[in-house]
This record gives sequence, C-alpha cells and structure tokens, in this order.
Amino acid sequence: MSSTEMKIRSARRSQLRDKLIRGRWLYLMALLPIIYFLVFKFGPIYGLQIAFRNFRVRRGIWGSEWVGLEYFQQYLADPSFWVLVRNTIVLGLGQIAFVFPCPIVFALLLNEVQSKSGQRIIQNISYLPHFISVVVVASMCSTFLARDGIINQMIVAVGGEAHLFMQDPGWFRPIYWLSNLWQELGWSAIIYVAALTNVDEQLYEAAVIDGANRWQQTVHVTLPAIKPTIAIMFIMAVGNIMSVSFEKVLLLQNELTYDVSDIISTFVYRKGLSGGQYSYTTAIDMFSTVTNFVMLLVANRVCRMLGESSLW
Amino acid sequence: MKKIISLLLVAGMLLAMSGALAESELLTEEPVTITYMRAENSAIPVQDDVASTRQILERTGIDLDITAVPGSDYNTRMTALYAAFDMPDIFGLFNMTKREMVEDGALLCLTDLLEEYAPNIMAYYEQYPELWRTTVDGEIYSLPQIRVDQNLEAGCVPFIRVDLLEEAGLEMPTTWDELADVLVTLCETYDVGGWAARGTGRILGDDDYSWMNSFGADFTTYMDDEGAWHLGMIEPEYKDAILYLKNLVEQGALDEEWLTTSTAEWQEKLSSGRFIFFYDNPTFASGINTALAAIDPDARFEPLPLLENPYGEVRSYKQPTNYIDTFFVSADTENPELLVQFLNWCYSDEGAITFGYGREGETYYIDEEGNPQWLPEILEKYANAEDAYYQASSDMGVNNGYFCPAWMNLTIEVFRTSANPDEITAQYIYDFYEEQLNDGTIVERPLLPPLSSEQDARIQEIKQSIWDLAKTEFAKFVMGTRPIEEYDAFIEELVSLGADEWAGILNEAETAYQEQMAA
Repeated sequence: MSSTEMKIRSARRSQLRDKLIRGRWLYLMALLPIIYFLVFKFGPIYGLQIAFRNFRVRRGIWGSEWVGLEYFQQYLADPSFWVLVRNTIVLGLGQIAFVFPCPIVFALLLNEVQSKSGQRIIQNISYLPHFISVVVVASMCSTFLARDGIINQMIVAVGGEAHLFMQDPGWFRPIYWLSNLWQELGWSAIIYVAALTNVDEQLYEAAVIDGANRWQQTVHVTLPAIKPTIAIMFIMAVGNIMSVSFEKVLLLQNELTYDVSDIISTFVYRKGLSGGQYSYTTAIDMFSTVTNFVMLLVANRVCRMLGESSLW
Repeated sequence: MKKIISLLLVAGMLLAMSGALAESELLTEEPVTITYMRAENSAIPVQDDVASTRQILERTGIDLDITAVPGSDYNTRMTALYAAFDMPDIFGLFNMTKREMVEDGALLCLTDLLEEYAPNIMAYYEQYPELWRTTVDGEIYSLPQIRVDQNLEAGCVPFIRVDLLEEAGLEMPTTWDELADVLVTLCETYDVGGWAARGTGRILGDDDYSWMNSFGADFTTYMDDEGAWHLGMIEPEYKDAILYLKNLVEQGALDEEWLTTSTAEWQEKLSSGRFIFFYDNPTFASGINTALAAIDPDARFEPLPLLENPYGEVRSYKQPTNYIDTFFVSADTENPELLVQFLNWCYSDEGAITFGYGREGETYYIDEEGNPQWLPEILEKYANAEDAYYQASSDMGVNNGYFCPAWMNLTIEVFRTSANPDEITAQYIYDFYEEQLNDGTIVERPLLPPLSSEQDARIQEIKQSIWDLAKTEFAKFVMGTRPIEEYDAFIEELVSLGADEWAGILNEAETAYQEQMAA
C-alpha cells in the first residue's frame, strides 16, 4: 500500500469519526428505534417457519415436523376463505375510499383558517380522539347506538323509529369507517398540515396576480404542492389493506353481523390465540402479509408511472 | 442453680422438639416457590401475601406465587404462554383441549405420583368415581376442585319483579307458556321491557346453565334419561325453544339487544327498572335489588318456582359439586414429587380450612369442638362493608376466587348476610328450591366420557365447523333476520357438517367407558 493510499484511508477514517462525533446525539436517538425494529420486527421473522411446520410446543420450532405448504392449502380450501378475504378487502378499500381523503380535506380547510390561534385550537381538539383507546371508542359506539342511546333518542325525537344499529349488518361498515374517521381525522391530518406549511408563499402571490380565487389557489397551488405527500400516504395505506385493525372489528362485531364483520385478522385471533392453531394461523397471517406487500409494490409502481412520488 | 440449668435444658429440648416437629410437618426445609396462574374475577382481585398464602408457607414450606389474569384475557394470555412453553407449575383450563395438551407433552402425568404421594386426592377418586371420566387414555392429567361442604347452588334460576306481578293482579306463572303471557301483559301494562339477558350463552344455551335445559332443550351435548348422548341443537326441542324466543321478541317481551348486552349493561337494565325478568345466576339478584330499591322501595326481584316446560317436565341443571379439570400441572415443573405432595396437602382438612378461612390466629380460630370459626374482629371488619363477601375473599385470599382445590364454599357466606340481611344468598336460593334440589328435579350436568385421540380430534373438527355457525344462524332466527322457514334446511346443513356424528362418537365412547369401568 502506497503512502498516498494510507493517507487517504486515514483521512476517511478521521472523517467518519468526526461525523460520528458530530452526529452522536442523532445516532443515539436512532438507536432506540433500531433496537425496536431488530428485536420486535426482524427477530421474530425466524418464527415464521412454523407456518411450514406442524408446530408442537414441546418440540419447539426446529423440532416440529416440516409440512411444507399444507396449512396454506388448508386455508385456501377453507369454506370461509373467500368471505374473509372479501370482508377484509371491502373494509380496507372503504377505509381508503371514504376515510383516506378526509384528513386531506380537513388539512386544506384548516389551511384556510386565517387566525393562527383558531387554527391551533381546532387542530388540538381534532387530535384528541386519537388518544382514546379503541376499547373505549367501541364502547362509545355501542352506547350511543344502543336502542336507548343518544342517536336513537334523536331519531325518535324527530318522529323516526329506533333502529338496532349494532345488530344490523348493513350498518357495521359505516360504523367502523365513521368511528375511524372521527378518531383519526385530526391525527392523520398532521402530516398534510406540515406539508402545507412548506408551500412557497410566492406561488400564492403569483396565483393572486394571475387572478386566481381561493378555490383555484387550492386546486392549482396547494394540492399540487402536497401531492407527493398524498402519494406516499396512499401507497402506505394500500399496503395495509389486508391488515385492517382487528381490535375494533372484534369489539364491534356480534353474531348478527359476522357475515360482513368477520375478517382475516379476527379469524386469526379466534383460531390462533384463542384456539391454539399456531401453524395454521401463522400461514394465514403470512398470506396476508405477502398480499399486502404485493399490493404495496403495485401501488408504488402505479404512482411512479403516473409521475408522482414513490417509496423507492 | 442446677435446677435452673436443668429447667433451661428441658425447655431448650422442648423447644428443639417442637421445632423439629414443625419442621417434620413441612414438605420442604427450604421454602420452594410454586407458581399458579388463574383467571381473575374482577370483583375479587387477587392480592399477594394474604392470610391463606402465609398459612400455606408456614405449614408446608411452599411459597405459592399466584399470577392472576383478567378473566376476559385469560385464554389469550395462556395460549401465548403455551406457544412459548413458558407455563406456570399449576394452571387452569384454557382454550387448548386436555387431549391436545397431553399429545403435545405439555402436561405432567399424575397417575403414579398421586398413587405414591397423594392419598387425600385418591380418596376423592374413590368417593366420586365419575372423576375417572376426566382421564386421558386411563391416566390422570388434571385435578378437580372438590367442594368439601354442602353444595347449595341451584344453577341459573328465573327471577321476576314480584311487586309488578302483585300490582297487576297476575298469578305467579308456573309454566313457560304462562311466563310468556305474563311478560307480554306486564310489558304492555307498565311500558317496560320484559326479559333482559346478556350475550348468546344465556339465551341460545351455549353455556352450561341457561334457561334452555329448564325448557327441555339444549344447545350442546346432553344425556337423556336412558343414558344416550344427543347434540341438542339439532333436536326438535331446540327448534321449539328458538320459536319461543322469536315469539317473545316479536311481542316485545325479550330485550332485542340480548346479543350485544354486556354484564354491566344487563345489570343496569334490570336495576333501573326498565326490564322485569331474568334467568341467570342468583348471585346478581342482591345487587340488582339494592339498586332497584333506591328508585322504588317496593320494587324487588324474587325467584320463581321452576317452570314446567311444553313437554310436561320440570327440570334444570345446577352447578356441580366438584368442578372437573380445574388444575393442570406443567410437564416442566421442577420438582413433581414435591408438587404432588403439596397438592395432596391442599386436599387435606388443613388445606381446605386454609382455603376457606385463611390463617389461624389471624383470621380464624379453632373452637372447642375442633371447628374453625372466624375471629370476632374479622366479622366486625366486614360487618358493614360494601360487597363484603367479595372484599373478604380478596383480602384474605380465601374461597373460589383464589387457589382453592378443596373448597369450603359456605365459609364466607356469613359476610354476604352480615352486610345486607335482605340479600339473596346461596342459602336463600337453596331453601327456595330445596325440594327440587333433593328430589332429582335439579341435577348436575352429566360428565362426558373419556375420548380416544381420534374421537377427540373428530369432535374438535365438527365443533369448529358448526359451533360459531350455529350461534350466528340461531341468533338470526330468533331476531327474525333469517326466515324461520329455512330452519329445517339449516339443521340439514349442520348434519351435513357432522352434527349428528358428534353424539354418535360420544355414545361410542360412553359404551367403551362403561365396559372399562365394569371390567
């Protein structure tokens, strides 16, 4: 090795050391999430092999018999397979169709509020439901929508007839989406509000000079400016279609709504955590995860082809 | 001086002897921790270091470490622990079947250990031969909770607002048909709801003590008078029961929200006076009556005599004297011999007194006749306490809410009556139904026969196919969201999924068991 090469290497090492020292607090901050992902996200991946084994607790993961794709075949042949997939996809797509656009609209409306303190107050109030536990939200739904609940009292007060919303399969999905919307509207809008603060004021000024009204400014300046953020959030939402949160579904469903409320994750909970069918339910969950990943790839590709931002 | 020295020596020897005696009674010289996990009743929080565990440690050398999980979360937690095979030494039944756990090698086979170290437990197998029905391939893998005093329980029973019944000048109903008429009349007269129920179990009958058995129907498996097993949900009597419920819903005499009503909501519906009838565990009646009295001092729920069903019978199931499959021992327990010796102590008189009364000198004393009695200060402490029955149980770690293999179920009844003399106690219910409890009208649900590996697997398979489906569809028939004309077709669907095979397997197993016992 020549002395020049040695000098270059030494200079690189010292640059790296300087960088590490300069950014030590940032690296320290990143350490916790890195540990979290390693321990809770990457570590358990080795356990996924039980989807291909007849897992018996005493024999452990490696000692259990290898059965290949048996549990995947069993799932595909299960009479409830298509019902579960349909219910999951409908609930997930509905979430994207009805719930996903609302925080964007809310953020745009919030952006139009002239008073900064008013904006802050509205924003803070809209965050609050996010911090309420899903159990409490589901319980609120049951109480408000009960026969003697406030909603039915209002319906009766205006001359209508009380309705058993919680037992009506036709109302299950709207209740799910609306309660999600109420709980997450403000929280999900944060990222769009942040994106809106970065829009160059000069663009608005130029639009005003060109004679644009508020609506035209929104359509031609604001929306294009936050389009990359919307695209990224959309890709991530599509990638979660098969992972509909099971807690709320589990808490809201009952025997009369099973036809529309039984989804893959509630089925996995019932069979796996309640029924002890570990291998079978791992296979089901793996199937959902792979499907999610494929959908994420497709959404990413589509966004890229349309010229919007993409995850990679 | 010599006298003093000799006295000191004698005293020393006596002390040493008493120490040696105490030590010889201990199961272990060094304290050994045994872990136990159970589902917690929210009314009886499990506390650490209570009178009963202190006495256990003093008398056996075992430090019983109890982990309690909220009842609603117990199955999930146990299933997760089981998957990681990180089980406590002793645990209760959860969603895995006993056969599955045995085949996984997760349970300690107790047969030989019990024979060697547990005469107290084996004596109960002599006294109650039906306990052999809980074996797997002839081996003991689970232990029962033995009720060592009288079983006063009468299962779930009907309760009605007697004040409204009297005010309306109606006769006490004696049959299920009369009850329907009475409920409809009272609902119309007083603009109230009729029958309030909580969840599917109490209405559709998928738990052990619903109204269904009294009506002459059953959701799950039952044994007829000839000793043959049937699956109730596919029998004609079950259809009659569904039609009865449907009729009540149509006439506004059954709460339409029975499916989604939680226990707390159900209690509120009854204690606010909005509903006038329930068929449930009598332990709820007192709380409901107390709350109801605050609104209307004359309002009161009282039990009804058992109702005659459409087939001319009066019948009902009560809680069993002994609860089977209550305790399992992990195959990985460190010292199986010591653990079984400890369990043997738990089923002794001393063990039963500990689980029923706590610690001698702290919570109870032994009277001149050798019987345990609560200390006066304990009786005084809980005399006017709210929910004294539950609080006393939780504070002292006694009775069914704690670790209680040998169960003196009447010891803390005194706290229930001391706090509120009007309470509907177990004794009150027993007195009310005494004749029927003693003449065989109210009986225990027969225990299932032991199953072979194949039989167990097939039944699990059938159960998985039909159980949830049946609950869903029967609920629709009751609520009228599925036409009743489709009922018979649905039963055929259940049969095609193996519903009738289920009873056949049980009958086969029953025959094999009877032959084995006869041999």
